[in-house]
Amino acid sequence: MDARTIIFYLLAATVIGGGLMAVTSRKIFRSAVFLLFSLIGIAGFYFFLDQEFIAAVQVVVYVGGIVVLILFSIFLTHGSGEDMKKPALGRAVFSALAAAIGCVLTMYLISEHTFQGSGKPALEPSAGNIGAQMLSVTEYGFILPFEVVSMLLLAAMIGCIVIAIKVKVPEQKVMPKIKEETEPVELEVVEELKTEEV
Amino acid sequence: MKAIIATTVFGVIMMFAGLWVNDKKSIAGLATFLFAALLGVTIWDLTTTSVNSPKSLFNDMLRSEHYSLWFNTIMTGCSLLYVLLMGKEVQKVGKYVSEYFALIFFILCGLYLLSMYNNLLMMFIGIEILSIPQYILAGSDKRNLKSSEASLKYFLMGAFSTGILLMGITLLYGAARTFNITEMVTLMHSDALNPLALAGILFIMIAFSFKVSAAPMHMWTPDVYDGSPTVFTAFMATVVKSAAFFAFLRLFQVSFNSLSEHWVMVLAIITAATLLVGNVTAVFQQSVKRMLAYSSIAQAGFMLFAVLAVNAVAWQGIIIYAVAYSVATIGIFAVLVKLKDYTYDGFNGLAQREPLLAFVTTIFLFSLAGIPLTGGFMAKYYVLLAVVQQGQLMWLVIFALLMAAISVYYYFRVIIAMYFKAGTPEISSPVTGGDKFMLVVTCALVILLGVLPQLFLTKV
Repeated sequence: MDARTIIFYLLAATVIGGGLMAVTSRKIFRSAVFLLFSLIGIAGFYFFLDQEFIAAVQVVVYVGGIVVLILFSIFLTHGSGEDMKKPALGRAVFSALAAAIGCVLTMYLISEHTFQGSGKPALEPSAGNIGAQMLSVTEYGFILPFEVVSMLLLAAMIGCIVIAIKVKVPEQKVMPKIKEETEPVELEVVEELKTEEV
Repeated sequence: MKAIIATTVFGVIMMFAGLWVNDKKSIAGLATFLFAALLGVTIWDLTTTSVNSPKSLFNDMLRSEHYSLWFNTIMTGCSLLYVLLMGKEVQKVGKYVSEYFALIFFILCGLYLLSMYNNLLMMFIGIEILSIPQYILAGSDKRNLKSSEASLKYFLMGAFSTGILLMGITLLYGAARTFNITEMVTLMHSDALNPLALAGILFIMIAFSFKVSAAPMHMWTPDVYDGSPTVFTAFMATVVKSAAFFAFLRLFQVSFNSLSEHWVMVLAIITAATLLVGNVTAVFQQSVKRMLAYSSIAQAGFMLFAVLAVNAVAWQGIIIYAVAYSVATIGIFAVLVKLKDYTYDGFNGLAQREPLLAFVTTIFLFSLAGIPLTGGFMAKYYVLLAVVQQGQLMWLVIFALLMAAISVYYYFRVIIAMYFKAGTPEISSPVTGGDKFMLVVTCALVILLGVLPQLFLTKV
């Protein structure tokens, strides 16, 4: 066992362990922190594969941006310190089963069959090259998706504003009521995800 | 391409209109004008592109096939019809009317991308542009808990299916080594078929089934359609759903056509399940709005036939189904928003109070049930014809006909309530002469579709 293998397994353990803890933890704040570990592990994988630019993006966007936003929104919601309700046994069993089957299926497929290379020469994955490809109109240029994604972000932004902006009278009265009627778990998720979109 | 640029510009104009125009009515008027302009732009796109040689745009990211542009035009026409019928109701949902219209323009941008994409990346972005504004529109009635629930549910389910879609695209890319859906065909066949490609196809199929609300991935539909403000449900259930179907068909027709032996059976089972669940559950609903949600699942089952049939008639089928279903459903929702009570009892005695409303609703319901001389009949005829020409899956066609017979029951319940039951339906907003005129136009369209469907067909 050489150092590379050991590092690989360490990273894998961080990603999987972080992910598992994120979904099983009873406190939403802890879940978010465990998610952080999982995402850092993935950034580690990109470094491991010599994709420094993507690794840096992973750290900046996911670890530095999204998780921090999630943490902020957790702080801003009511009852973030409380334990989340335990899911019903049946639901837990079935989701575990579904996850396990999906996991085994993909693992089996990927271990049995391999992806083949395209045979075309690879571009150096430097930030310069990536930027040039993203904004180029020549072959393999990605200018159109790049521009169109800005539409997506604009729509998401408008959405956030429309949803977050305060409606004068009734909303304050209604909000606490929702908590009693539906599961509080879901409510917290929405706020967190909505912020994530920004 | 011009249409995509136009939707973007119009969306931004709508946003600024919210800043400068305070009067809700003039905002709705501006939106109607812009939708009409957009229809003009799509027609311009259609007429300036040669029928036989599709134009490839931006390194084959998009390809403007004639049928794609035709679909764009028709769906923009449906959106215009929607705004003309329900522009007034949009104003009642909340304060941010201009933002709602801006979001609808963005949805149309996603629709255009989905009808023309030639690259999986564009397909993915298109689906997201189509979906994200919908999550917001679903939750736009913030004072209503059900609306918030609908938005949340839709968002979580949508995010989940997007994950599955991405997984499928990854596997497919790994196996085919390209994102380009036309190149993919040759690459997948150049050597022995990689089973990872099949896994990718399966994942993409599941994700699309989510988006078009096919069983067993339909669970979100009734709650979302029921909880969202009725005006936006009308748009989601029609134009948006048709766009998702067109994208579904495009991918499976262009890329996976030659692999159909591998996936046709899975999709056939999904179709049968969708027809069964949609129709049987719709029978037991007490609310017409919820019944329409289940009926939209049932109609999705019929639209899946177009995807199942890997031939040219399928394109005709999906286009005519999309327009027939959209026009009739938009019409019914336009009547529904006028009523206070969405249960069947709310329709009691509508024929006495508003004879015209009752009459057009009857025609729309006839169309959805697939009664001859209405658009719905021709639509069902074309999608089933596509499968029959393929020469297999006859059992599914017969099953679909049986299910169509069941659907008559719950559609006719509304007609019975309107004509044969006594009651005084409460009307929430006055039915003006303009409303009546538009409803009659819509009704005429439904009949025109049933009598002269060839007007809506195109060269494939």
